[in-house]
Amino acid sequence: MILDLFGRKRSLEDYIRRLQELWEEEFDILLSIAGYYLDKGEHEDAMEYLEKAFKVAVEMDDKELEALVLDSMGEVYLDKREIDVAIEYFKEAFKIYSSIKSPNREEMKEKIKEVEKMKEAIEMAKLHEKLGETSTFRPGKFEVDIDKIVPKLRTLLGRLESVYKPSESSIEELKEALDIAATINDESSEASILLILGTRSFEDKNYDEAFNYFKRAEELFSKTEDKMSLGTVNVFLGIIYFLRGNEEEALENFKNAIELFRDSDDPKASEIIRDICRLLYRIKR
Amino acid sequence: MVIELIVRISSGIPGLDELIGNGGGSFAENTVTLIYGPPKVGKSVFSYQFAYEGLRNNEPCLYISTDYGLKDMERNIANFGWNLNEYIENENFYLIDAISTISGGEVESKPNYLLASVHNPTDIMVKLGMALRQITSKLPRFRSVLDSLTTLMAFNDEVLIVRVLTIYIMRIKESGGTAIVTYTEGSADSKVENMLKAIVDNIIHLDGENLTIEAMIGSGKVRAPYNITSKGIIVD
Repeated sequence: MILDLFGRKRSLEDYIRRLQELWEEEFDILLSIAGYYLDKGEHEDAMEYLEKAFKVAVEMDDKELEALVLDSMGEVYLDKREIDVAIEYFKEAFKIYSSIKSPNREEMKEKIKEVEKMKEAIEMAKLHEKLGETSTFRPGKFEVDIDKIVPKLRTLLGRLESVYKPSESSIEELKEALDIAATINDESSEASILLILGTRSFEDKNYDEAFNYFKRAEELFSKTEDKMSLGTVNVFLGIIYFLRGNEEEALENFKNAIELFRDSDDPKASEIIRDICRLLYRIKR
Repeated sequence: MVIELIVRISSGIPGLDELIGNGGGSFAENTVTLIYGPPKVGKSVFSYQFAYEGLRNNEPCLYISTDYGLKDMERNIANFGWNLNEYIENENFYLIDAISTISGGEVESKPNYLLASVHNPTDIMVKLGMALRQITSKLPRFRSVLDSLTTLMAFNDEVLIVRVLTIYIMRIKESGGTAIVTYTEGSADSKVENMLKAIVDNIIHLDGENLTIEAMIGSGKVRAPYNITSKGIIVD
């Protein structure tokens, strides 16, 4: 009876090819239905059809299609604004694309980066909202436990490749070095020394002096295009602005720092900024 | 009768003092001399002889080395039968070692042995200031060597190193020292090379066969053959 469906004279290869075509058609239809539900915002139905499509892809033993379904599942979660889950699905898709050396690998990598950027922007917006709720604070009234923040800043400083080590030189020696660096126009060293002097002043809670050092360092690190150091200076400036009650400038500096650390491919540094922001804005994980 | 008013200090190179100053020394005191030429013609050997001559005459020497650490320098100098160790011990020899920190060797900083890095010209100049304060508190006359500008230029912007040299010359002269600096011919842009020649007082060219005094305070242009022997450079 089954044989009658396609004619008795067909070979086994024909049947297998036909089965493959049916699977492909079924896969395309399931994916289209999932897309239809996703457009309507019916996420659960979309997921149900994507799960069916995934089973078909597994049956077909087609890794490329498995990755495509996982990518689509990520899109569903992205639409639901569940970004962490979406990223997990995209990462799974990326793993599969990488394992089969698919040309879609690079595209997926870029997509993950973009979504991570989106995630950070949303987190910063949440911080902003939180700040809005506490906008009645004024410098001096807002209690910030700087001693808890300092170790995180030291960790951040430890990630920089600076020749000058803060523990090695006295302030006088550093100021002499600063004069020399300025005289010979050694901008990299001058910026690094300003960062160290700013850090010393910051740790002594002399924030106005620290601010001046950091602003000069910021200008020089911008010129020398030292993104990691510039990002670190932005974190210090952000904290000082925050302590002064200038929320907008604080936020601007933290955003700049996150952007710079991302450009430097240092997610750990970005994580440190988030920890510092949590401590400043008292946001629970 | 011409009276020589320039105080000259001995070079430590047999034959050179006779060539330049009729045996009364080579370099006018408180000047800076550029020793340049192709690779492997004896520029560092010249520097060792200049430094060692001062040490033997109880003149401290501040040596900035960008190519050799302390152990290598001791060995290089010992090859000519000279012993640097005694001057390290009595703290007449000051070394700013700008290479050991990047070559990865374990080294310990001492009052007369300062570590810096060829990557960080500012730090080299800071260490120069520290060493000069110590040296000038002992004796007003001293020698200094910067060997070599070539390595500093290899790790940094060439024009930045010209500025470093300008500050080095200024600090040495302010402190009463006499110095030589070495440079490998052709290793920098020709404009930079001209700048180097413009900011020093004296210029000596070595080519492996002849030593040419291209510029020297109180002396004309002179050329003489030289050899590198087991006792260092000897000018015929």
